Amino acid sequence: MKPRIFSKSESLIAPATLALLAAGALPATAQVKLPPLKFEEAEKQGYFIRLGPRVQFNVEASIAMVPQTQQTPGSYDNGSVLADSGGLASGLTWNWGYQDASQLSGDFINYERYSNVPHAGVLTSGSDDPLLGGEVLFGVEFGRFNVGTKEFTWGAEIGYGFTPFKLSNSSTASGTVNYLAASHSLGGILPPVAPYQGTYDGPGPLINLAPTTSTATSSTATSTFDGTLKSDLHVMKIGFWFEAPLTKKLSASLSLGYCSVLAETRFEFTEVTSITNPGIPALSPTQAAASASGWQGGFYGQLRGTWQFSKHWGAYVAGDYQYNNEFRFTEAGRDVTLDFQSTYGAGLGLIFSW
Amino acid sequence: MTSRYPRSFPSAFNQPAIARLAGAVSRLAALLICLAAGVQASAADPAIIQQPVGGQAALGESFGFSVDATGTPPLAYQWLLNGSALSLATNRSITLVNLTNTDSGTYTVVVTNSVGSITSAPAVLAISTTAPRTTTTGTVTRGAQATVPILLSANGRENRLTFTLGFNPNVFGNPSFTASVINDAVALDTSRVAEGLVSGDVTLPAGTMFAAGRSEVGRVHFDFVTGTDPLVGGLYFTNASVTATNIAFATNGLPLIVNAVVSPQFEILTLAPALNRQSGLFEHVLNIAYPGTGTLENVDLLISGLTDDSRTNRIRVYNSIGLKTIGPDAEGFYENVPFVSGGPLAAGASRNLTIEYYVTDHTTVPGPTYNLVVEGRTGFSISPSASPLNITTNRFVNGTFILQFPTRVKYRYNIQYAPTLDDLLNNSTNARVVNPAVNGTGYSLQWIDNGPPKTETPPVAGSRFYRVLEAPAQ
Repeated sequence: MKPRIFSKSESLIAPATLALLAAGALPATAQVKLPPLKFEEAEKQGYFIRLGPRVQFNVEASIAMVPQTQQTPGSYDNGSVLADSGGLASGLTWNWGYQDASQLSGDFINYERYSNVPHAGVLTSGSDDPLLGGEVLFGVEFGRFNVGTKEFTWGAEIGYGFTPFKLSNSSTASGTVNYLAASHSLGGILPPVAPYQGTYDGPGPLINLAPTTSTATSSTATSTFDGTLKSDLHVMKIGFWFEAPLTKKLSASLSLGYCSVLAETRFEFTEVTSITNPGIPALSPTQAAASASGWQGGFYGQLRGTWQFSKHWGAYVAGDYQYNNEFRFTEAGRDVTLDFQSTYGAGLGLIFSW
Repeated sequence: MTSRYPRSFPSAFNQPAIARLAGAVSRLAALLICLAAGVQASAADPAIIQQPVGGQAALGESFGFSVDATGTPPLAYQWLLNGSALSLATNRSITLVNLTNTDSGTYTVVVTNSVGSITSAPAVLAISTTAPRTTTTGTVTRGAQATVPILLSANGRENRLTFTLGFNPNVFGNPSFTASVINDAVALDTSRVAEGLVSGDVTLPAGTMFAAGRSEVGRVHFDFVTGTDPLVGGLYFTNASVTATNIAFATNGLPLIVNAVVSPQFEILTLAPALNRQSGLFEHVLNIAYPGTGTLENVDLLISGLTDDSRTNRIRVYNSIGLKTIGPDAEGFYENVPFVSGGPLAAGASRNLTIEYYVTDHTTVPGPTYNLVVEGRTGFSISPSASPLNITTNRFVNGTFILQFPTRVKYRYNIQYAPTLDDLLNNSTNARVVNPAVNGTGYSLQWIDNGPPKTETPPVAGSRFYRVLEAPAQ
């Protein structure tokens, strides 16, 4: 059964395509009336399904530390005591906060800040190993037209592909960590229950802006990272295809279209930092697990060779190029990026036409 | 001229004929002399030697014009308003009573005699639209004696003020009166003290007036019964069956209408606003009270005179519930100022109000001016879409409840309180709403209940249940 628009496309679209191809594709002998070379077995076919495994190259992942903002006085890892709308003159501020009740000690609130902590598990390029997946496409023929002695066909296709991605990393890093311990006077107020964060414009409980005590210490430290990044890449494709017969059983095809990748991603890691100086409180191990997903739009192009070995069945081999936006998310101080820009693929499989 | 006539004309008939003839000639000569003198006087037209003087009066008051003229009698007078003759205004002076706006305009008087007439210079009467002239009580102070200041909101035309003050004789006794300005003459009628009535009279030196605006004219001092509170002295002004009415007099002696009321009062309990580090706000504590009779539905405390702080940010009243207009000031300007609601005040009742000031630099001490006015209570309602929110903590510290709850930006939080949990959950009439509501910051917020005006009564440990209702900000 032919698509309903077959006759229209033949009369309207084919001449236009012809004109585009005429300049380069038509040999001088095209003026001679020869019987067109038809892709014999598929002559009466209007639909097809293409199914097969596919390997994908050049999908990259990177893990980077979230850029740290300039650490201003009063910025701590477990809160902050910053100037408010009143400026510095009064020595008081309502723009402060803290995270845990353990920071309270009498009429004082204690803060700490670690800086220059060495971080392992930072990757600039994750993997260019081939990723094994698969895809299935459904196609429909819209029309045929002759170029010289060859009869071209064209149509549309829609498909789905799936490729799992996994990246594991275990690494260590060493460096010198700086530790700052500061204590601010509460001035007799009853502190709000933790966690609490005041605002720049207030009002709110006022504490002393300047720390009563502030002590800085340094030490060597080693960080160990053990993490896994997993992502299931679901690809939706929709596009047009053009097919030219090479022989009566062999044809070449080109597909072009839009594709979108859904990256269902999970990132898990554990980071343990050991500090040599016992005078500096140990850093708690960081354990993080996060899931994120998002559609990334782009386009694809595929070149395909098809061997039609029966009326309905054929086999194909294909190579493709795919471009999609990169997918990023942040978890536990890490920026995770999955880069789908300029990926390549190769596949083979069966095609069933009817 | 009348002295030229015999005192007793009939007795002349008892004299001899010659004598009677001589008398008749004499009287005829005298008559001719008189007529001659009259003909000579008619040569002088009427002349005005003192022109009428215009002025200003308030609605309902009285105002008088007068003119002095010479000329051959008899002189006739006709007063005109804007060129139209006024009926029955044909005397040398006229008094307009119960003034209305139609009485304002240009007044002239035409003086006429048999020879001619003259029209006076115009005198303009303006009907004042200024606030009514009012006698009020000031803040009743309690020392060895109770002192009741008598204040007059004057228009600047008043030379004398009289009043009668009623009081509870079981609380007050032995009144005396002192003038606030040393040269003013004061008098106090204590003849009906036993009935709880005393009348005062303050008269300024001739030609001087009370300054326009509000000022203290004198103080009534009472002994009060030990153990009683002068605030429950039941003060009131009255015109009923007393020796003096509540009235003022202009320099020309005309009466001027005076409204006399016993005012609610306030006393500043903390010398100046002080920074409360717990709330981050400056706080000023006032005591409002009503020494009068009956119950005031609501009193509002208007706060003006706030300036910028050292960071050029305007000092704001943090627990204000809106703006009200006051004025005009000395230059005629009106101003919208923040206010808080002091709630209803019964006779003898008093209540502390904590006014909170938002000062960004935490340093500049606000210098507010307060005005207490009797106003209807400002309506206040909770958004129907408000939903209850979990309160993180509620602690009673230093006589205040400190609540903490999470907030979201662009949301507003109404706080309800009641003596029992059931009252809250059932929205009973015992449940109250804190005013004003609180804007969300996106963070956990600490809110302090330090009593009126936020809440109706001071917090007492264990006395209140709270809940917070969250609704999108309008």
